Amino acid sequence: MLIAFLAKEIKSHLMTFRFMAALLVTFLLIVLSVWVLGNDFVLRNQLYVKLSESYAEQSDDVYVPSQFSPMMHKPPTPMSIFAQGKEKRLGNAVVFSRWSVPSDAIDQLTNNKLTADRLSYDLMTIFILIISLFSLLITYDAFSGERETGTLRLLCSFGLSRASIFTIKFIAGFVVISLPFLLSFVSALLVLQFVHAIAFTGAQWLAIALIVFACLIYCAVFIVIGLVCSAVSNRSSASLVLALFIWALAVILIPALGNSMAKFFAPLLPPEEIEQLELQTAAELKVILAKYMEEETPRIGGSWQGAYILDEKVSLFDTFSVAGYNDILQYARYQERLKQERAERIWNAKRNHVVREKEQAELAAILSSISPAFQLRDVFTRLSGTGFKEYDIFLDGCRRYRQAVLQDFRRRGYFDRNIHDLFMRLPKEYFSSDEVIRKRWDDYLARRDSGVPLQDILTWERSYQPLREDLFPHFQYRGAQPDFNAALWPIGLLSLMAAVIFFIGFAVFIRYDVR
Amino acid sequence: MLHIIKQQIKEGLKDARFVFLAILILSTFLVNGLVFSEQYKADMDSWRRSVNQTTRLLEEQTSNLQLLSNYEQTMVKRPSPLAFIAGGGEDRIPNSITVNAFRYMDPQTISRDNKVMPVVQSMDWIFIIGNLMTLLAVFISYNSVCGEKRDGTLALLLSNPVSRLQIFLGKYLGLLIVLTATLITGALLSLAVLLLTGALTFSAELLLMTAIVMLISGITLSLMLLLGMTVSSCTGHPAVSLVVLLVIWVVIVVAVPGIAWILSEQMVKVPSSFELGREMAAAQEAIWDSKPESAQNLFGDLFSENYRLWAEGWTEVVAMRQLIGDDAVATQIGQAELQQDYASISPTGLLDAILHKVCATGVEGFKSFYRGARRYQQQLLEFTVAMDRADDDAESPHIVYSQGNRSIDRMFSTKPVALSTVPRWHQLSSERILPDAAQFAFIELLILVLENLLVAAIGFVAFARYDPR
Repeated sequence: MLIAFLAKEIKSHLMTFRFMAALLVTFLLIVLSVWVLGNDFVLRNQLYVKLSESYAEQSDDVYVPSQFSPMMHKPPTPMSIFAQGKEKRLGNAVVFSRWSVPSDAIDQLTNNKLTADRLSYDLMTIFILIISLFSLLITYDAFSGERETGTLRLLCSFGLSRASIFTIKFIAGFVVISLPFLLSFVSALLVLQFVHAIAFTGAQWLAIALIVFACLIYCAVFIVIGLVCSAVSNRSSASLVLALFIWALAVILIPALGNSMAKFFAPLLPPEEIEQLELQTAAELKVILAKYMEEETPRIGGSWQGAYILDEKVSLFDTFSVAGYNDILQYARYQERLKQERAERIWNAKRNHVVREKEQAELAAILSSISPAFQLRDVFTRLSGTGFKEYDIFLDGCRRYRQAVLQDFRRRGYFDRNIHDLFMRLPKEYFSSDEVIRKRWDDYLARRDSGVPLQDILTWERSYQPLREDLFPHFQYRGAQPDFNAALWPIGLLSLMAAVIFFIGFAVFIRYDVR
Repeated sequence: MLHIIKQQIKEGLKDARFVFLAILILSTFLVNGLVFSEQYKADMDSWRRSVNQTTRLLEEQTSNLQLLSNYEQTMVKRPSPLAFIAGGGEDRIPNSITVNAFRYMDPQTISRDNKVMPVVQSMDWIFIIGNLMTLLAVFISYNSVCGEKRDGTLALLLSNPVSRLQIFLGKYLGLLIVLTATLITGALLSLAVLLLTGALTFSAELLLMTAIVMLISGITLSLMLLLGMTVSSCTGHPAVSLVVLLVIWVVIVVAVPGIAWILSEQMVKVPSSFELGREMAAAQEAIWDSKPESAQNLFGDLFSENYRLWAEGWTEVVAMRQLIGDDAVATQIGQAELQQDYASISPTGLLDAILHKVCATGVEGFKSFYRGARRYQQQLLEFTVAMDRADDDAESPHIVYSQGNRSIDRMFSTKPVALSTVPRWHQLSSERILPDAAQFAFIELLILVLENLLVAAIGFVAFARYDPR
């Protein structure tokens, strides 16, 4: 009896025009979105590969360790096809610098920022906005509609308990919504496989499975909301409106209000503080260094040479005596130490700002937690690795890499005893005595005056061999990983919501007047 | 007919579903007011601080003309006071450009937003009216004809000595009045919040602007209503009509803009910053290769031929790089505008395009900002040349040039200048609220009106042939 009733329910839904339309629209939207974003991902990935290669090539231009400034890249993740998240809002490349701690990434993969303001129609958005609407439409008149047509009375006169009727309506609705979704999603995956040849790792497949699971629970939540609305009013048009009202509240209003209220109650520290600090410390440093050069290392002399040291391009032209050469080394040591200290100081200030940002975001999450749309968004971004967390992990990796390189430099003495090797291309012998230096300088002038081209003269400098690539540590980044632990909580919450609303609906239906 | 209108209005207002939806729309307008007022105030604060900082830093450079002309100012675009209408995506459009006397470049997006916060749908008026109110229009019109047929009241209505045209118009106007009443109430609510919290100041311009936006939105919503009535007159069953309309709504709101994005990306290829860098480097190399050897060797004194060639070469390089940069920006703008054009096939897309133009946000806002940067750079250059000419220091060859952001010392005047004579960025002027005639989207508005007439005609024909039994 139960099975027969269930079968009848499902059939009656499937045979409607409504269902066909929903199926068609869902299919079109999901397949189209995945195809488009898949294409976009392929292009971004190609650009990423090209960039990594070209930066590897550019390492041919590193002749001295001070020129070592590789770019650390964050590859785009194929999971961003399903949930764009912050993939295009946050950066994906950081340049190594001894004098600044990585705290922000630049975006090297987005070509046109002007088109970036459009709503991106990824699977996540489609689900949150549209599939939820469809779920409501399937069940909003489950009871009130049948009551209007008079068939509800008949239904209740069969030997079925109200509990079973309610459950069966739920199952029928669920099947009717999950079929189009699963069908569309599988087609979309096929498109990715065959049209774009995108491969997922094992962990990513598991993440996809969990995402599908979360989507199904999300559908279930809205189906029971539809059932509740249906059981609360007598007329189907009234239940439709109630359902839409709840939809707008849950999907649009609550997340927006949650964000606004969090901004109001947990305001951020003004970013000008950091800018001020940067400018102020830079100015102070300039003064300190100028004073040091004047007092401690006066033999460097001349603003031209000074400028060269700041650019780290000291060459033969700047030293006319051993004493001058030693002054250059001393100054370079001092400058290096001060600049690294400044970097740490600025980073500590920025860290406080980030802590506040995280607090604000957590408050927004708490305030919006009652919205199933918010929870689903959370699941998507955590499992696809396109949220802030992955960005943070990447930056952390960049910072640790910088530390590793600095430690390596320190070990080799590049910041104290071997500072010559850090930035000088000329071998130490060239500065062994005043006579040697003078002789080379006269030699150079003679050649220049006799018309030898500059490039040929400068071959005296250490042979233009770039440093070996494997001399210094390489940046490793494992790529965006799905965060399974963090995703379990929102999934759990969604399931809880579904269960609670189910029981509310059940309680309401028990008392429903079927006449 | 007046009677029919009154009856429709009364029915509409009494209906529980309308009440709920109206409450929904009004609360979203309220949220819109709250969110944007807070955001605008924060944005204006930070913009004012950045302007002050720029001025302070500029002052420090006035001791040396050469330093001043090379000094790179970061110009930040003034936040638009009309962001609450059409500023949903403003936080991602580039809003800062680096300018000095020789070049303007590097459009960046300086964002004050919390990077950690999850992304939420931005609720500007375009979203509320284009997405939510169009849905509302669908819901009040889907059973305007076939619902009455099912209830049996349509036959009664038609039995009156009133023509079908009058009935059709009466229903349409009744629904339109209900919808626009909601719209105007919501808009006033939103404005009230913005004025009360002090984010905006009351002015006749603001009111006029709101009126214009109301008119444009009204025409868009009218189109949706007519669409609803047309579909309602083509089917016998309200459920069918509702589903068809919802499918149409999804196509209008989601599918068309999405496809527009795909198409625009396919048709206009925008170079990546990496490609641009390579292009610029190649162009630079080509320029230096074409110059004699001596141009790259700086020997002798400032007055020698080497230095002159060096300066010439660099001027060419900077101009070439600027050209490449300008081209890239033009391509980006072209792609964005193409996307907007394709999306305008749908009424929501059209509304989006019109409101962005009229409020000078989005691509339009960026275009005028970019042009402003170019103008300012030219002003700075003219100023530098004039000041250099006025300086009769014989120890400088007075060649005004730059390698981008530095020049060899003493190639041109290094005398101090007065801050008051230095040209300033003019975006400090008061909020421009009303659009110029050129900005007004006349053609798009015309298309909207024509679409209205077309759908009205189809709808009426369908209604005229409708069997009320």
